[in-house]
Amino acid sequence: MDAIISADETLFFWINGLAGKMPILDWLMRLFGDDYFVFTIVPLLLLFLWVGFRSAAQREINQRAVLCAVIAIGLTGLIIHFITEYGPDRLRPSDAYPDLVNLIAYARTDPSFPSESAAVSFAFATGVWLMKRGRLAAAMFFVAVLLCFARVYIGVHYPLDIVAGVAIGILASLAAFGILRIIEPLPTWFLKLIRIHYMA
Amino acid sequence: MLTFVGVYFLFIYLASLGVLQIAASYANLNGLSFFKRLKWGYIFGALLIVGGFCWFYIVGNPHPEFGYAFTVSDLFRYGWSNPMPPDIGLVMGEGESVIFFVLAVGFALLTTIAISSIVKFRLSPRIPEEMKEEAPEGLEALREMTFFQAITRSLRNGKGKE
Repeated sequence: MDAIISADETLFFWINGLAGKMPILDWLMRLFGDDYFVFTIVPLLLLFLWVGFRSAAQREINQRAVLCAVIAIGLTGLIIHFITEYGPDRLRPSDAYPDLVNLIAYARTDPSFPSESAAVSFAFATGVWLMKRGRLAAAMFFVAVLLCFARVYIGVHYPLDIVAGVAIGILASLAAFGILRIIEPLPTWFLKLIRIHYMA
Repeated sequence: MLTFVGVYFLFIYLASLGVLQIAASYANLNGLSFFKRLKWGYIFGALLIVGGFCWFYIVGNPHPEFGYAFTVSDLFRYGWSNPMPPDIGLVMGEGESVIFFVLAVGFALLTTIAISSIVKFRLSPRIPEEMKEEAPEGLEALREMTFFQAITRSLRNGKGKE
């Protein structure tokens, strides 16, 4: 375990060591690692997916993909809450090594492990990808990967926090995909109900 | 001056309005688009999205160095006008940001429905009377009619069946 932690910290300092050298890269990473940027873009993509379709068949797939992603987010929240409540209370890099970390964002105070941002962004992307494999899902994955890298770059997470978050997000999406299949015909009824009101 | 909630709300509202216009153009939903020519929907939507992001990150955010926010309990503790703790600039909690996000998207949807129903009130459904049984359902119906017309049609059909 110590070897893993040590490797994790070595990788963290290598990536975080890049911060502060190129202002444009710092700005970009701060933007992607921001609490709002990705978590605005990705739900807006879901909104587009819900309304933007060209055929009835495409609409069905799109809207089920949105349902899958939304359930995955709910599950991710539950898992993260459980882990932060009962799991290891790992200090943020900037708290553990205040003099060594290039912190180029505000100092978070909650536990570092696991990364909720990584979990949520991957839950969104995987949830959509499981139902609809296309450019939009690929774009969501791209944004999620950028966010994960940025969180280490700006000095708020260790790589291991990110890996755990990604795993949680993917598992939650797989579970959401399974739940949607198990509870069928409820999703169908739900979609029919909102279609009556011209909202889906 | 707007509090952070107001800045965030306006950001999401503008961006969602833009996304809805782009999606309406992409899906050919004439009854949801503000424009006769759908390509204007793409342009208008893109402008709103870019405008929203610029507003939040460049104009509106009083502390661009942070992703600024706060929790609901901070609102009670520090008040609406300055809900940030004086020593730490923390962010709006996830629960709160989700609530305001959903509210802003809801308002954007209502605005889209209202404006499109007003500016497209002359849009006449091309579905013949005899084919009404097979009329498209849900959002697909908004290719031929506005939301208001669609709701009126279903209310009329509902009454007719009684």
